[in-house]
Amino acid sequence: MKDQKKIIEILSNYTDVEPDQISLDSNLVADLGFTSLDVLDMVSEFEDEYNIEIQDREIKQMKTVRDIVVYLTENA
Amino acid sequence: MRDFRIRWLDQSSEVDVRDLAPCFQERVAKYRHPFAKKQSLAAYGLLQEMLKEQEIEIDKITTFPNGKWMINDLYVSMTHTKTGVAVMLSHENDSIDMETIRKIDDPLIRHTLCENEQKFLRESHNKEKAFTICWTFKEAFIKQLFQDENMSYRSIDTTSLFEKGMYVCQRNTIITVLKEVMK
Repeated sequence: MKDQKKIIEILSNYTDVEPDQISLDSNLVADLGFTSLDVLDMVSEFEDEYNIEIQDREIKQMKTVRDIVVYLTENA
Repeated sequence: MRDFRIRWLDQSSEVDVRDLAPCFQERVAKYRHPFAKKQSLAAYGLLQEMLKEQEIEIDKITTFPNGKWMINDLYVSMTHTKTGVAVMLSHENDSIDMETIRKIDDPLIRHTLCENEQKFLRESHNKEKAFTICWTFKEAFIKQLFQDENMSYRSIDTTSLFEKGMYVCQRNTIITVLKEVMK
């Protein structure tokens, strides 16, 4: 798996939930309070960080922190 | 009928979940994040008020594959942001979206906006506001779709939709109403 700690660190910039309260099963909207623009903003940061391009249809599949970690592990 | 309302979160009293119709309680229960729950409660509370004022009983709820939904023969469009919530009820497939104007960076612009929209931003005196106008039109357009079309955000050129809608800017928030596009 990609560096989970780093991913959660980036992710925590977009929510008021403390990093130690964020788990792989945290739902981006229901648990972390993300809006669709927050998700895109965060994904753009991952794209820059890992020098990849993530398609919008793939972003729509990212419901939990685990989905992001798995995607970045397989594609970044 | 076309009715929309905005409720600012700092001006609204807390909605008690028990005062909501059971079908709305179920939807609010999905949110565990405190602020997301507060937004959701405010939005469903507002929707319930609007239905009551119009003397509309909920006979039938229709939900489409992408989550879009209708109450009886009325299209429902809901939106929320850090500052407030808005609800639109219409017999036509109209939609509403609101978003707080925020700091944006180039990766987000490149990911989200098409060439025409990026030109609109370059020609604007307020890049953040211009971005938020495009974004709310994009989201409002997506809300009019009946299924997940797998569209990329960049494939939707909102500059061609501006004449079908209107926006207002209040409290650093853009609220966009878009009339049914695909008639």
